Amino acid sequence: MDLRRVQNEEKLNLCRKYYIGGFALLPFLWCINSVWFFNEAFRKPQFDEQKQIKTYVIRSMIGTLIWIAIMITWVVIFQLNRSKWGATADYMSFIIPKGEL
Amino acid sequence: MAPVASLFSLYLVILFISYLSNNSVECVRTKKKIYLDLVTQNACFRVLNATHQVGCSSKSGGNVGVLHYLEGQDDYDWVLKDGPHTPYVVLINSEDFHREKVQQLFKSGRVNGILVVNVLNNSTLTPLPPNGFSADKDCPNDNYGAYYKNDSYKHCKSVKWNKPGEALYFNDYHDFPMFAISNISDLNILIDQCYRPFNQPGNGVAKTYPICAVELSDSMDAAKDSITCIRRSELITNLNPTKYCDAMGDKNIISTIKAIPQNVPRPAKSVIVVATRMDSISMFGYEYQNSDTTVTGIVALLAAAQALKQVKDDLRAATSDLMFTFFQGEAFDYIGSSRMVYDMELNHFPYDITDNSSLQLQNIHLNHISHFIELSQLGHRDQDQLWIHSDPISKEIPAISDEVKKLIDIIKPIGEKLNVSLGETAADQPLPPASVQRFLRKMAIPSIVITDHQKQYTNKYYNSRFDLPRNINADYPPTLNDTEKYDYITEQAVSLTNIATTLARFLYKQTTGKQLTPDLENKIQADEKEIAHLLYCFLESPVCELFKQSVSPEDNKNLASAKKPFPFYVGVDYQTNQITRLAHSILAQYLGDRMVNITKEADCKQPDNDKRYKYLWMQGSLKPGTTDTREGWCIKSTAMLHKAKSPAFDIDDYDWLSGEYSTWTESTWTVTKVRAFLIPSESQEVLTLCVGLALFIVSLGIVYFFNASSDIIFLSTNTASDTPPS
Repeated sequence: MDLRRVQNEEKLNLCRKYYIGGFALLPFLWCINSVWFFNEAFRKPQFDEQKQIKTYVIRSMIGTLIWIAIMITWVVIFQLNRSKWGATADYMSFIIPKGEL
Repeated sequence: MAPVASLFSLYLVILFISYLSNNSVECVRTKKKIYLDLVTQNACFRVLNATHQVGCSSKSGGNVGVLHYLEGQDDYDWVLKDGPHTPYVVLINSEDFHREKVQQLFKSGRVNGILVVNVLNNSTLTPLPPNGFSADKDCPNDNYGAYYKNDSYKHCKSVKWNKPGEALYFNDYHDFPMFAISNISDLNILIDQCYRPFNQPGNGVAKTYPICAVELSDSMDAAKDSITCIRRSELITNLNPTKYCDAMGDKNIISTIKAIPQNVPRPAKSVIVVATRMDSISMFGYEYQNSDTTVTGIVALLAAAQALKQVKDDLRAATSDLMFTFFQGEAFDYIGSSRMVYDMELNHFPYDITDNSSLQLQNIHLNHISHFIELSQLGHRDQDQLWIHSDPISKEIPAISDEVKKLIDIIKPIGEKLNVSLGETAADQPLPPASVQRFLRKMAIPSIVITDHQKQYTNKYYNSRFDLPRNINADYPPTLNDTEKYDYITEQAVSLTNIATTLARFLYKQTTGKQLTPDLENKIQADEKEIAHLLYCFLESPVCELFKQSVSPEDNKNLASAKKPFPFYVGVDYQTNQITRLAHSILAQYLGDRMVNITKEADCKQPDNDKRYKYLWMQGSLKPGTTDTREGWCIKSTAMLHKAKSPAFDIDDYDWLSGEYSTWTESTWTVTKVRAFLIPSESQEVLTLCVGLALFIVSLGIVYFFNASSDIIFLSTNTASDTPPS
């Protein structure tokens, strides 16, 4: 969707939907939200809905960062312990490397 | 305009020169120009049990190292201490390939893989280690035999059977590939085209670049242990499930003399089992020389079956039944025999009788076994004698001890008459590793094991690639051609004939209870010529008349393309070994009957109402007057294949760590490959990279220039007329 052709009201609506949707354990919505509406929130000349959009974008960014931190922590923990966890780790895995413990 | 035209002409000149300088245009892939591929496929590969991974594996992309041929101590010092071009891949002589040296190289951190010279028909290139070599343990199949709980006999406390056994096979060489070089042309590539011209240091000074490196690839898929790799193979989290390992196994071959149907009860203690084993191990794939370890036993047992051919009606009428048995997978903690015992206990042996509408073979239970006679190695006779081993624990029961004594009293005089002297081992000496131990674990059975050794193995090369025909006098004078070799009666063939005759007469007497009259003795006589044929086909070349007539038409292609004897390694469970199918077919010919009326493969099948006999279709002998058409034989016999897969893989919730059944699996892999190539010096590598980068930047510049001045180059003439009016 090309944001240039969308009414400001509709923009706010979309941004809110993405923001709320992110709470359903969908961090990618927050990530997209923060990139997609970044220009609207911070770089466009002022308009009525901008303040609200800005709030959603900032919160989405924070959410994204928290998720990234969680993900990285988990990946590090999993990779370090995969062989130690044995069967449990195998059941969590989608692809198991060949020839490795 | 002018500079562009001159640039074009310059290009043309360059093209023309490069064409002239290379006037024969060849299409050789760059890869082929860089690498010399070796034909060897004889890799040490990974196998696993419930607790360990053993064998070798390279890194996933292969291990690369500078080739060094270890000819003397100086070379060891060079590779382990002084040499500047680490890591090395070493080419090692057969005598040096033993545990101490291999461990030293493996642990040094300066060596990336081992190649072993293994040109077995050339004793100068490949001398046999004088003190013996065995890839197996010094106490083979320890913990899985009859003495696993017995404090005085377990762990071979009283006799170390396999003294040279260093258990090299049972060591884990992770990221450390090893290959055997069995092909003389491979060896020439490595030594004459790679090592000598590019790498061999002169007077302690390393050669300058380019130097020759070797890449060894045999990356294994499985890891850790059988439990892990089977769990991973069974996981279905992925649309494309991956296999990491396969259970080892094959088929036992069995044949009873009588065909008792399921509605006739089999009397207790009425089956005499006579058995030997089929398989062996060795460090390297496809290098399963097996002369003494198993072939002597297999040939003796087959020949005994053939010797009984003339009296089989007597045997069929006897009260006792006789079962010929060839166990598979015994080298890996008794796979075949443990499976048979397991099936017997469940009344599934030889198969589960489900359908009563047709006649089927009556089950055999452990209680039905009256005696057990096993043949082991027979080639290297200790003090020119064979030795009868028996189990000291079951002999504590007087009835068993009496029966064992009776067996020995029957076989000894028969042997003496044929110049086969049979000695008895000490009364308190336990059995050597043997399939019967799996039966003795469950119940006391009068049993004897006939071998060539009194105490430790007389075979210095048990379960190894050096167990060669020439060590048991079964090799041929070099002047003979293939047909002559096939009929040539070696010294070993003569002794095996006497052993087989002894065994056959003994089995006859034991089964029928009749005395051996001179007439009977004439009838029960192993055929020297047939034994020579069997030895030739098993040890020298499978492309022989006996195998050609015994092979099924489907397997004929495998046989025709065979270049060396079929391997005796048990392999993975889902495939039946070629050697098993051939031995089955030969046993069926010896014990069964040829259906002369059946001349078409389609007619050679079981009737619906009688499933006791198997009907095997084989190529048969050549039609008279032809050289390539065979008449086709249909053989009806009780010989059949019985699954030799460890029960561990078939029992639900089996406790893998219980140590009851074999847990061996073989890892899967994608490729085994060795190739040699030259590596340039670091400065040349940097130069190549820089020239490449420079060329790239120049070409970018040229393209930019062309693009920017495209108006002038391509549209210079008609620019005005093509421009639309404004």
